Amino acid sequence: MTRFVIRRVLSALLTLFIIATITFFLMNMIPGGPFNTERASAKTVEMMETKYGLNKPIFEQYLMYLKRLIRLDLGDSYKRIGFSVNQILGEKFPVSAGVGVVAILLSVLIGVPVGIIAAFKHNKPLDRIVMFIANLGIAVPNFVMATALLFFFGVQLGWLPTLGLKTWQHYIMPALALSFNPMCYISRLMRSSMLDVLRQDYIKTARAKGLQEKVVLFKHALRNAILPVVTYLGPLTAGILTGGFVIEKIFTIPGMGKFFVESINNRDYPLIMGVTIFYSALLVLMNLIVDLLYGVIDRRIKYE
Amino acid sequence: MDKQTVNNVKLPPKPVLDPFKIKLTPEMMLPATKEEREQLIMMRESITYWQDAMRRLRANKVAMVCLALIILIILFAFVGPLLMPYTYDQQIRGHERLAPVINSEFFHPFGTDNLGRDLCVRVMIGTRISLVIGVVSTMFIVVIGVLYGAISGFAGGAVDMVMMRICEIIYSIPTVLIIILLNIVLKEPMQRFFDAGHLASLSSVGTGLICIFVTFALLYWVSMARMVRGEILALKNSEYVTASRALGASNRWIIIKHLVPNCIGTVVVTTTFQIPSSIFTESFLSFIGLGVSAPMASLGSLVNDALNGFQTAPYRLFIPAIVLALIILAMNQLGDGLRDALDPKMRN
Repeated sequence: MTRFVIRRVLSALLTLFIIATITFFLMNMIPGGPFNTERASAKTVEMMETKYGLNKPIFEQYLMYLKRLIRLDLGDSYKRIGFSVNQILGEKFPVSAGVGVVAILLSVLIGVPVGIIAAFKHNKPLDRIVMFIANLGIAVPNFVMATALLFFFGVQLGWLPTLGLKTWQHYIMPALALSFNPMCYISRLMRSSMLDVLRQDYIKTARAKGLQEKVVLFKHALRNAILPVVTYLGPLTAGILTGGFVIEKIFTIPGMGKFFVESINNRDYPLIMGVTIFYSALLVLMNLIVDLLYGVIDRRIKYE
Repeated sequence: MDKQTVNNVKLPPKPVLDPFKIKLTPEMMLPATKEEREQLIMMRESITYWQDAMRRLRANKVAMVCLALIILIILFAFVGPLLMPYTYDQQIRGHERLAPVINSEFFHPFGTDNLGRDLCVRVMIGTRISLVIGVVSTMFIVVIGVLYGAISGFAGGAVDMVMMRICEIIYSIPTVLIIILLNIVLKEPMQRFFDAGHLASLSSVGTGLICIFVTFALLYWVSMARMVRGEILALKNSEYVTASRALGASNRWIIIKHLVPNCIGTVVVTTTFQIPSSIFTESFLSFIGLGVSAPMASLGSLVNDALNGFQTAPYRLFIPAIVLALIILAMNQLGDGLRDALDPKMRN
């Protein structure tokens, strides 16, 4: 077990290192420095480049960058003068994380029970209806869902506040728009894995020895059937994080996603790099947690 | 399977001959009757795996409806613009910001945008671009993924381990973020490359599109490679491959005759699922302003353009959005149908 954990942590660090390297060299491939605007004089450019170490050989810059990364320093924003990427992340990310966590909870807490119910009513009308909605939901991109919600509930009916993120009502639409797609996916996943588990011999044994249906379901079936959903938690986090880019733009939520899209349009390279690395680290961490969680839920899995 | 029930046709039982008491009678030497000949022909007419799969697919109503829908959308995207009196970038004076209207003066079934461009043509062209992106980038992914997976699975041992490690690392990289980065980085050098006159025929496609092809091809082949590798690993150790090897077959023969044909099912199914996922990702990129460049349109960029005034003109947003959702839905359902048809064991 310890060996497995160490191996997974090392491979997570390796992945992060590779991502950091890719991002660095990609960003350095872009022609023209960040200070090459028409207004800046040659002297100013030189001063700025000396300040940020941009006139040193590329390998030296790379080492400097890695050293800063180890100290968890993501550098300064080029366009928001006086702000470091860390400061911006610290200010904006909690906003995104709030919506994201609500969305993850929604998609799991609704998706899993719906999938179980559908599996129990296999091929009955309820199952058909639920799966029809789920298949439809998987096909609708989150930005379409977001604008549809905004239009019907925000503008036409006026039930929910549309812009910003002030009260709890403000969270409903963005979180729903973010979570609808994964929710549908999870319910489909849960249904098929539940159907699969319910056909297994150990479920028959459990029923044959006269256990209550409740015990069979929660103790024997659910624990094994939920594994694919646990695996999906990694991609789910990735989807929610990147989904935030568009959702925050639509609902004008002052979070990291909206800021990131703006920084893409402004070509604020340190910020783009910083956010990429920060989000990657989050995802790698999430995948690590999922891997470890897997063994806790399913004792049959042996760590090599 | 019992030979007597080939094609589910019951043949009359043959007379059992006791080998120790065979008595040949003149009747047994008679030429076969017409009926007997037909029975022999029936037995030869076996159904191949693919015929069988297609028969199952045809029986699947949902999949057939989706197939019809996809054909309709393809017609809409590729034939539709020819029938319309405008081009996608034609700005018609005096036709700005029209709601859907069809009368003697105006003909704009989906309305027009702020610049007086007909939305119907733009949605058609956008659908075309989205479909092209889905299909072309998936082709790259199939080629890279199948080759990589096949080599890894067939070689085995250390080669396989190294190749799969690489896959694992790419798999754990947050793809969308790297795609965003690559799109930003590649755009300018590529633009200059085309401006310098290289590969002029390609440059008409547009740098935004080519960036998308390249970035998708670089990052999305991993799941295809994994699927193919898994399939090859299972097939490699199957009895008929061992038998073929025992009979002296070369690697070449085994790959061409046994491994490739048996992998096609998996590849077809994975491809059908990859196309909508590529379309999905492209629309996402276009929506955050990274996809195709104006005046070209894709479904994602049309939705993005419509976002500003969507409270007054929601149809501008919902029409491309519905087309996008329909494509993805139909492709996903067709993929499900294909998977059920090609691998009945997977069905739930």
